[in-house]
Formats: sequence, C-alpha cells, structure tokens
Amino acid sequence: MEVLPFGLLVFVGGALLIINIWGVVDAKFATDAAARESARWVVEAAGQTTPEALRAGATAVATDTLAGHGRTGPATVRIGPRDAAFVRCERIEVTVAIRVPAVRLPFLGGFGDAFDVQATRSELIDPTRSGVDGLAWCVQ
Amino acid sequence: MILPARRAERGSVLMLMPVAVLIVLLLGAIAVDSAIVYLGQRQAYNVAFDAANDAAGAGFDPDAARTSGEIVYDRDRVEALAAQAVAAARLDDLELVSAEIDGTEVVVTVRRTVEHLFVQVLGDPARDEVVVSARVAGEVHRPSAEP
Repeated sequence: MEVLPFGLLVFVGGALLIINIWGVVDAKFATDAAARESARWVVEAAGQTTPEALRAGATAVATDTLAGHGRTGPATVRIGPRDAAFVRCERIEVTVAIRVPAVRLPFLGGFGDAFDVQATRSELIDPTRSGVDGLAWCVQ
Repeated sequence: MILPARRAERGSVLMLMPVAVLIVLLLGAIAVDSAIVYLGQRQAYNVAFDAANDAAGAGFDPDAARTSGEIVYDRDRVEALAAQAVAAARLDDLELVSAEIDGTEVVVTVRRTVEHLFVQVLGDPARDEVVVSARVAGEVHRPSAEP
C-alpha cells in the first residue's frame, strides 16, 4: 500500500514541474509574439514619431498581443537603442519582458520569486517609405 | 485455495501504478521538449524573415529602381544586411547560412541548434539542428498619377 502515496507524490511533483516549465515556454512564445508585433508597429508607425508616442504605442500593441495569449499581467516594453531616432535606415529593437512566478498552482495562482522572461526583435525602418525623416543612407 | 478474482489482481495493479505515473510524466516531458524545439524553430524563422525583409527593403539598387522600375539587388549589401539582422536578434546558437538573391526575391537561410530540456537531464545531450529559410519579394510601387 505504501506505493500509493509514493506514486501520488511523484505524480503531483512531476506534474507541477512540467506545468511550470510549460509556463515558461508559453511565456516565451507570448513575449516573442508581442515583441514581433510591437517592432512591426514601430517601424510602420505613421505620424507617431516622437519617442513618447512610439513607446506608448509599442506598449499598447505588446499588451494587446500578450492579452491575446492570455497574459494580462504587467509587461515591460523597451525600445532601443536609447538614442534611436525615427528616421530611415534606423535599426529599432523592441524588448518585451513579463514576470513569471517560480511556482504556479492551478486555481491558486503563482508563488515564489518571479523571474523575467523576455524576447527582443529588431527591424530596420524602411528606407523608401514615406512620412519619415532622414536620408536613405543604407541604400546608397 | 482459490482467491476471488479481484483480490488476486490487487498486488499487480499496485505495481502498475508507478509505471503508469512515470509514463504520463514522460509523455508530458516529451511534449514540453517538442514545444521547446518548435519555439526555437519559430524564433529562427522569424529572424530569417526579418533578415530577408531588411535585405529586400534596403539591399536593392535605387538607381535601377528609379530608371527602369526593376528590382536589382546588390549581393554584398544583401549579405551584410542579413548578417546585421541575424546578429541583432541575439539568439543563442543562431547563425546565418546564406542570403541569396532569386530574381526579385531575397532568400535568407539560418541554422540554429536547439537543446532539449528533459532528455538532457536524463544524460543524453540531445539537440536538434534547425535549418529554416524565409523568402521575401521586392516590388517597386510608383505613386499613381493624379486624375
């Protein structure tokens, strides 16, 4: 009979381990998609060329994408490089990070110190697009 | 002495329980490992697509596009832009295999080594080599004339 509690222990422990690792993998999927959508939005943004407007728009797009993946918690969105200007040929990097709890139990929520899961995407602002300042130096 | 059938099978069912639990956990581990490989493959494809997009958008000859309306790519610039995009992705074990021109299209191929998680814990240094290509076509759009 002692095999039953042992089997139960192995099952619960193993299931929790797999669930938590899956949570990290799923978070990576979500942040990757959010960073991609956000970077696309930044390089295609029309008439939103101030850093504040770009950051606000990128954050909104990332939040929407994460919500689509069922992640409604706070997300950190960074647009780099820090001195990036919204001009032709500029390489824009968008990093989206979310916090994942160390242990997450079904129906009870997360416990333990959270750690960051992040994804970075980078894209070039199209040198031939209209509505953007700067020389298209990268096609010369 | 003849035991009732249910009582006679009791011990063997108890022995099967841990085996069944381990099989369920093993299947779960295989599912997570497969998802990790799929994630690595998807990330590699996204980088290849971004690199091809950057190369197609900035690797063409602007003079040829203006005069003849044709897309003519500069091979060196296409390769440099693709390499730049792959480096900017900062993904582990990702390398650019090739950035080729196919008519009006740019084809970028990348390679990535994705390590399994659970299988490695068991002592097997299992890793999948993922090679993916992305193809992006360039077009010249001229603003239509005012009526």
